[in-house]
Amino acid sequence: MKKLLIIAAAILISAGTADAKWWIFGKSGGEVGLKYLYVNKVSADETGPKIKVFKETLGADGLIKITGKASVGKSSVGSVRISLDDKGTWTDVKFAENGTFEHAFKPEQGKTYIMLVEVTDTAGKTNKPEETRKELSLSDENIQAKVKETLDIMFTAYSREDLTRFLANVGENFAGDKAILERAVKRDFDALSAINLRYTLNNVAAGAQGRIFVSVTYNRMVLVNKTGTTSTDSGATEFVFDMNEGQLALYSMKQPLMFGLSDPEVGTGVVLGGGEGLVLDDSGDLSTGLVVTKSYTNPDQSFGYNIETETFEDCDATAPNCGGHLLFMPGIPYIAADDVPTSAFIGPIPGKTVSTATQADAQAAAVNQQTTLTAGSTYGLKYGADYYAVEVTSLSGSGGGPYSITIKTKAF
Amino acid sequence: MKFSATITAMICLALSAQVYAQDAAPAPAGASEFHATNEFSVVSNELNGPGKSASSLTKGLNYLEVLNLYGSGVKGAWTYNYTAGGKATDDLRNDSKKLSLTNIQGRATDNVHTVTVGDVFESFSQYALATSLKGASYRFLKEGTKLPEVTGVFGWAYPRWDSVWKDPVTRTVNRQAAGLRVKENFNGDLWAGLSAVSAKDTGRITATDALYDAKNYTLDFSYLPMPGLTAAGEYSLSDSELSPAAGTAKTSSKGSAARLELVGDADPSRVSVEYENVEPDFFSALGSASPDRRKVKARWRYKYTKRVTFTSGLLWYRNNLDGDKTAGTTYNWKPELSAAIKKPFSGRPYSFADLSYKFDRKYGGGSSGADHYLNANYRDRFGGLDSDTNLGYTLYRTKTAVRDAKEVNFNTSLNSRHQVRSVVLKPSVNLGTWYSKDELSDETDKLYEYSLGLGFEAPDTNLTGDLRCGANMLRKSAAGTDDSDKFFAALNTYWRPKLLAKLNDSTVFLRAGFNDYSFSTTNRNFREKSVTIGLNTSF
Repeated sequence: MKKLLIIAAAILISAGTADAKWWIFGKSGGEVGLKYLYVNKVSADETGPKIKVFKETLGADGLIKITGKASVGKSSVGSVRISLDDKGTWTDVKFAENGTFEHAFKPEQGKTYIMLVEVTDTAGKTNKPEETRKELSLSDENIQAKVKETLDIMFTAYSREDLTRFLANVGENFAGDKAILERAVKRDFDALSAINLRYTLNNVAAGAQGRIFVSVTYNRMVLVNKTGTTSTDSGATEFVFDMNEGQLALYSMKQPLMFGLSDPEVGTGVVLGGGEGLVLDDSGDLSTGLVVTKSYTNPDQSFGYNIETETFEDCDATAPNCGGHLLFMPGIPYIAADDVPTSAFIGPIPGKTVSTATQADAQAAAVNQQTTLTAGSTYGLKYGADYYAVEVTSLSGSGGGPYSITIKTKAF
Repeated sequence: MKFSATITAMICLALSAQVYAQDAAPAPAGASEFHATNEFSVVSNELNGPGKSASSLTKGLNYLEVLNLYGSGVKGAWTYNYTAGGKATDDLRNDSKKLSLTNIQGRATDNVHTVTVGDVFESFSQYALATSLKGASYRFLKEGTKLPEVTGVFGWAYPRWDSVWKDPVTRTVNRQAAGLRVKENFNGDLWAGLSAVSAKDTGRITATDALYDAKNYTLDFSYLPMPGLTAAGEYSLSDSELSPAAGTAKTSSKGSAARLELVGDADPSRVSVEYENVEPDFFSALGSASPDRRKVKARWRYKYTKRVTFTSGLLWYRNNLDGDKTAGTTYNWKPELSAAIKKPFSGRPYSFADLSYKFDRKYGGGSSGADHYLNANYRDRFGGLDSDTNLGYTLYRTKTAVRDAKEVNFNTSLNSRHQVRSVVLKPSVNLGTWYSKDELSDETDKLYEYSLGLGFEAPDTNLTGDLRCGANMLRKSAAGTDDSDKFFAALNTYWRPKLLAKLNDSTVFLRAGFNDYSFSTTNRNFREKSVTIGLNTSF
């Protein structure tokens, strides 16, 4: 945090003291103009020439609010005027001493308002109103129809593997990072074909900052190029969209993922009860592998597990000779890759579950013969040439036993 | 198919809503409004072939009914609006519930106090609260005064309404949430918000469900030091307790997350610099964050001339911020450079070229890879023919023998528009190929695809539609893997009959699809035939 504050302070101080020409990229601090302009709390800098507003994002009073701040250098603001009919008529707007102003009007459906803002300083110098020109309109679509239209475009673009069209609906401020999502989707397209996605809306809620929350139930089928096999899954997931120029732009999405299956970290959050979803590993194959859940109670503190036969075994303290892939000694407590063959290794995969862990995670983690055993942890296991993820979901018992354990395993 | 009482009730409700809407229409402007949309569709799916179990369609005849109601009005000094929606289906692939309430919300305000109940989406900030709740919220905002904006919210973070009443099919862990936000706009240039959010999980569905009890305290701000420059940031502290599974000990953790973004935006440049640091132990149950990540990102878009725009970017991030990861730290470098050129050939007014190069370097933590992505796109118009051609080359390289491959993809599409009397026809052709050489296994995959399309618009009859057919062919050299062919045909038509004009805005739609999947292993082959007919009505 300290570093962050130092960086922020340094940048802001230098911004304030440096020659303004450099920082404002061509704008002069001494010119008459607008320091900022917002239409319904959305920065005009962030929108294109057309701004479409949805009823659901208006306040309950149904007004479009234009707020801004006049900038006149060392002079004083003389007047602020707004035109909503392409300079046909001008309305004087009250402004504060520091140049801030607000103007509100009730838009009519089907009508387009050509907005321009004129700022004049006390010396009579004005800004260039054309630079503030925006076309405002109130959409006759409801937000749910818009959400459906946007999801249709995104699902179709993803199904047709059209990266450009897909990314056109992803916001620059995408929480999982747009650059990471772009590469993940590109990898998806290289790994999958014959993508077939369907969804129905569960819930749409418009909220503060013009954001839209969307919950869907989905159903999909994909063909994995690497193996030539098909895979289907279904579940529920959630998206958040931003409004931008009357279009919705993806702001965040949760796991299970619909897009960017090659990098689970593009999902920021997990849907409660959403399902496992599909995940592509670094090799371009699906790493959904069947997740096997097994529970077992052992009379003492030494037991093993064979992932292939899905069976536990009481090792009776003869640990080295216990069959299978894993050896558990919760009294110590440790979990070990069983020592035959000696190329078996294990290690923790922090922050992942057996569902979200990838082969690369397992490969990176599996570097030790043994490691500490704790409930809730996920481990990567290398056994011969094979990789596995193992999640210890519960563990109870003490001393010399008995111990009860529940694990989930997945083979890559 | 059985039309249950529930679906009948929904249709009756939709029709009665329409009558109400017509009655309400002559009311004075601003008094009250009522609108509804209703979509009812029936789909018939037929599956054939020995591999039909691989299909994601549900065989047989099924229906889907979606109804949404919207209203608003004025009562004294208060204005209010409300929405409600429901969905009914007998296809469990559409929804695990046959009948469900999709959304319900009521909102009232006197321009100072705003109360919302039902679906409440108070988006505080990225780390604090960025999800919808089923509950209620209250906001105080007196514009034109120095008083801060205060928002309080309480509810449950259920993904759907069925979960609220503990429906056995859609029941989830109960995540109860509460939050308070105070936001002050200091002088128009600077605003800052303080948020406190808590989330507490109860009610395991299975013994292995993880339950959190988490609190987040967050400061976010935006500052405009000068025209064209915006600084925005957020700092959040989390204090969470995790119960990984039934009968296991709880673990406590504290962490922080911070991000700062500077954006300079004025022609000819837009420059953004972003820094983010999310500690491994940071947890946000209701916000959006990628724990254990330190990230720096810079992006510069520069309009070199009116015709040429350059975009360059650099993204760097790493994990293992606390050094506890046994395997070590993974670093990522992702630089990129692209140029978008309008009219690269001065004699071709509609020509447009886009060239890009992206590089991914990932190393440490047991992995090491360097991937290169090159892409060239060219669009132009030749006579009445619009073309869009894309050529991409990707090189995947790992030092850990996970993926070493060269991939080339090529796509081109040709579209045109023809008017025959009042009918507009839009034929199109798409051709594509993808080639992948896996250097680890010394195997090759090739994919060929084509499609032909014909869009049509007949404004006189209010008919629009699109017919498309084509095929994908995957050819694999690896022994034991299947080649596959997919042939598809799809028809979508939308008709707005004048007879239904009284219903204001109604569309009858017909969608028909045929997919034929063939594999080398013939017992995987299957075919899907799907026909959907429906009516969408808004009033």
